[in-house]
Amino acid sequence: MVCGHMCRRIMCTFVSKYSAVIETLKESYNENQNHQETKHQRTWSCRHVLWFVLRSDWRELSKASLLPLPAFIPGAEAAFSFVMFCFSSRGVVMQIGLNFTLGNTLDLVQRLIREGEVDYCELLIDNFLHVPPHELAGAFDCPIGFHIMFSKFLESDPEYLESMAARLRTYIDVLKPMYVSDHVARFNHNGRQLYHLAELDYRSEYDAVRQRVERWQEKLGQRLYLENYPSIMDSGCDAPGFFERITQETGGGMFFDASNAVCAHHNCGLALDAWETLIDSTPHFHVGSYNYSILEPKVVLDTHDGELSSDTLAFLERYKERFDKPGATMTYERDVNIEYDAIVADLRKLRAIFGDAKAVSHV
Amino acid sequence: MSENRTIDSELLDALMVPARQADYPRDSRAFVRIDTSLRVYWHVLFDICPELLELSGPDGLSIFRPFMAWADARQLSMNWTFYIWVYQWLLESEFREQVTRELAQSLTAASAARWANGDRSTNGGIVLGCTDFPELIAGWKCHTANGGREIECLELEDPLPMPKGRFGYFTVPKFELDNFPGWSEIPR
Repeated sequence: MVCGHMCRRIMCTFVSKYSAVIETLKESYNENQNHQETKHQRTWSCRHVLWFVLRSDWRELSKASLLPLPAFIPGAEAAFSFVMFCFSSRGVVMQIGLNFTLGNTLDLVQRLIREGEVDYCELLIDNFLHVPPHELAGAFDCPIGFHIMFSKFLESDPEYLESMAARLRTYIDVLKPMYVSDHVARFNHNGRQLYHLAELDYRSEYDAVRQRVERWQEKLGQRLYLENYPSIMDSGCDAPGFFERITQETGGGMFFDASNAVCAHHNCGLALDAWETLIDSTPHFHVGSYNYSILEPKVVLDTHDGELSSDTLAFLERYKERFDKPGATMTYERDVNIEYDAIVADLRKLRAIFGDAKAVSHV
Repeated sequence: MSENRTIDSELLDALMVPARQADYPRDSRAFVRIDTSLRVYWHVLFDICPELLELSGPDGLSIFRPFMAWADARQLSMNWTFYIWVYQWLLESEFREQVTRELAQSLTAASAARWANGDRSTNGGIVLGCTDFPELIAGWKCHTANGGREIECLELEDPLPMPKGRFGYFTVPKFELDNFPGWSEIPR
């Protein structure tokens, strides 16, 4: 029903079970005080729970017609009953979102939100660190996720990361993102910028990367979700083991990009089922289009410039029981050829996989 | 590491040096991977400043390949100053007589834009000056939810002193140009 818990403490061991969540809703929200830091966060947490439940399962309930639907906003007992029904009917929980990277796409994104085509929006947050946080929050009538692009936390000096983390924490405090994620890749080589990011050597660089992940996560004050790279070369075969180990050892999360895994499958033969444990471990996902290199032998490149491929959609379909879980988010990434109808077509394909034809309007 | 395994980190030296691509078999994934990287540099240059293709011809290679070699020899950072160094190279190249003021301003503006897009410092803007034209080029980061980065060409009533080198820059903390802290040298 929800992603386990809304606790912001890193490495919190609160175990997410459906019954525990229902108990949280049924009883006073103070019951989960050990896992929340402020009253405001606890209040937000419970409302967020209800929001997700209502958003996800409204369609299932309207079809089932087994319960009179409660008026908004339901009282605690009605909400509890509603939640119990949703839980028992195993309703859809996957939230579909879109990435927002450029201010000039705001109108399009707001329209998608307004028309119910997306449930949330993922901000490339460091593109907007000069926009006042409350202005940014006011621009989105939906939950938010954060994806960091240019922290370059694996390479940047401590002073730079300290400054960036302080600024990001301000935005985290105001916008309360569902997740904060970052890239695991190389941005520079010998002081020179790589315009096409490079993949790590997961074997030889593990220890140094682990330290960096721990420090960056600590600075952010959030569980940090780490995204897999769209592997071209053979280092990709080491990626699942790397992410399993590093998430376990740092308490960070996997930010699983399904289409990046498809790229790795095509390019270096990494089986998609190598990611099963990691897919199970996380509620946060990316998906986007790929394209082929100009030269032969063709390699598959993560381009975010067009339609989702049939094999990416098939991957999601085949593993949808693993992807779909309480609090799950699937961000559709589109960075080129940003056209409303084309984006909606792909969003609806994702909804069709995870249960429904069109998003309902927000509660 | 087995002989048949090639990983990305082995290719790093070649990812921005066209001449190094020939170190790998033409039919190898490594060759294509390097090509993918080089194409990004190509597009960053010629998509933003297409007028360069009028000098080089449509494939851009008579500019791209020697510039990238020149940049490698100098270990240029390829950061926001990328286009400024392209301008510098052009002035030393066979194309020097064809470089116009408009091209100089275009390349300078491209650098300002690249700074505004990619810089993550707390500064809100950058100002670039060049001795080859009197105007200043300013780049401002996105600071509204529905906005983007902005580039301005400024003519000041009281012009600033020229930078000591061909180019100079200074950063602006917020979004108003109200102070001149002096010119800094363009970094490599």
